[in-house]
Amino acid sequence: MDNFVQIYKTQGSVMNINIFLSVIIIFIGIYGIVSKKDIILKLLSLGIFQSAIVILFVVIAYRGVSPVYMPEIAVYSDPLIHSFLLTVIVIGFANLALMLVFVMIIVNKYKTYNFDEIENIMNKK
Amino acid sequence: MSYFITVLLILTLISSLILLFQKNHLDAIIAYGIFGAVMTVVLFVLNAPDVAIVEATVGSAFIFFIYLIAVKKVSKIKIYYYETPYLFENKKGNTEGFEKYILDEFLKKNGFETEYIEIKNNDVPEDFDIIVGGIIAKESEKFFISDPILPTKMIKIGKDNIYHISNYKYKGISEDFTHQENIILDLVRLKYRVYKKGHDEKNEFLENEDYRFIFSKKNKKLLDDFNIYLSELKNDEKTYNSVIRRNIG
Amino acid sequence: MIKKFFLILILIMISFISWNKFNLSQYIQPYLPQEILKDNTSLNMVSAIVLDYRIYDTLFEVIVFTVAVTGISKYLMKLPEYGDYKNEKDSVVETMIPIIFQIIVLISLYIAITGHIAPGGGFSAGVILGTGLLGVSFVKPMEDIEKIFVKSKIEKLKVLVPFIIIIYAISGYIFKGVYFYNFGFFGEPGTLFSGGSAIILNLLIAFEVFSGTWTILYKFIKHRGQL
Repeated sequence: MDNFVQIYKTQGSVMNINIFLSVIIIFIGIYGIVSKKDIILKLLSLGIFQSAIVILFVVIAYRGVSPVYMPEIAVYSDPLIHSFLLTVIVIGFANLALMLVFVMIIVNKYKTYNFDEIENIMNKK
Repeated sequence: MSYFITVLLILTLISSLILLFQKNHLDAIIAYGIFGAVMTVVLFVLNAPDVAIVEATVGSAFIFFIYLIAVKKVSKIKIYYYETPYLFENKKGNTEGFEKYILDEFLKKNGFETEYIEIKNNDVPEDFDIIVGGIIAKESEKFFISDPILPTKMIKIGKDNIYHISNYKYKGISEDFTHQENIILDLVRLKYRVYKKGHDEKNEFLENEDYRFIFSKKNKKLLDDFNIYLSELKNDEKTYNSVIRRNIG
Repeated sequence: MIKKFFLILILIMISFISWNKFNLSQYIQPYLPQEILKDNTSLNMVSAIVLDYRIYDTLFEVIVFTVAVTGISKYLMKLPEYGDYKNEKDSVVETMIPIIFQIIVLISLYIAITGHIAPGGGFSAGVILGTGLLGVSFVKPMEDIEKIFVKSKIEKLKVLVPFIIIIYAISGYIFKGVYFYNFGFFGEPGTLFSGGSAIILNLLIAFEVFSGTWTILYKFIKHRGQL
């Protein structure tokens, strides 16, 4: 157990810039969702946001060895975080596909891609 | 070895920035596919092989396929035209003219499919995309107008009971504006009138105008694309002048 | 423009504050590798956690996935269909796709069965098979694929998979006293017959995900080009 904590502490300080870069990619995704006016580009920015969160957690769980058991190695990357990430990716993809279906129904009815015009038409009714 | 991960993360940052600056739907989907592929490499180098396999198949390939199947690859637009001599006319079953040549090049370049519908009796239906045919128009709330395509002049013939060109009902290249005595015309129709009548007439110059196209309010992106194409065409002086000379003379 | 500028400024300030605030040195791993190997004899630790220690998460993820696919299949019926089926034949595609499709089936079965020895698992195997079936729709005309889709009753079969997993859980309770008891093969770690009931669960999840993705792709092809 002491071996484990000591190895992690020496590796911990290099990871700060990688965490910073993944946080920046998350914020690029948020900026894309808020400021784009075309509906399809908003959905693709949501995809970037979901994938960037996966990168952030994998960087946190990184210890140098992949989580398949090999003899004489004591420290592995964290498998608990990886198992959560499998669920997150699948649910995120189901979410994105279902949203695409609803966007298709809206665009088929109102015939425009612009988000402001859809709001105008919905407010007038 | 730890700098390798930082370099790869900067690559994903650059590819996500590329996605942020795209405007076309198809370009954005391809950029998302690239982002998914780079993310798979990052996840593999960071020692997470399960997550990398799931991300490669689900996050990159499947979403890419779904969006690619759903997006309209060839959009259909409707063009209504007034029949105008030298600009857009029916000759032996085919349509040809200066404006038709410009429109065909633009549509072929951007991948649109179109149908040309003639306007008879001045009633334009609600679902138009572009209206062409020697139009001189001003800004209005109901539609957009494009940049000027061809400069022209308004000419006045005769003195009393001036009949403006925008007042008559269109029935093909009708003989209305060749038989009217007092009329205000633009250059192309004047040329046709001179050609039909056989002799020149005394005329008076009024003002300078431009021919434009009318675009529908629904699709501003079409207007922007057309303006970009038009400015490129006008910068290329040689082809522009040769097209004018071939169609109008 | 002012709104965008302020948004960027706020985001940059938050990201600078997050520098050096991640204090991760007091993190203790709850599942140690030696214990996983003794208890559940599978080599892949992620597969052991997904299918043995945290199986409730997997059960509800399968349920959410089924519900999402049902929703997509129902709401896409409100859109008009694509009517312009041209049947152009390309010789390269026609000769290569039957060969490639058999390799794809083999690869996906391999990834699903050996999920507890090497990285893989049920999810990615199902998606690989589902998108491999997309290639078949390039070769055959659309009516044949409609007939295959309706005749195999895949929309009714895919709802059975969460049901079978629940039966597996209850049978663990009846026979051994605990819900989701892991009964199966417990051999040498590293061979095929080890790791408890990982093989059965992986195959069930692969079938579920395969039918879901095939339904989604088929319905999207039927109503394509509407966006």
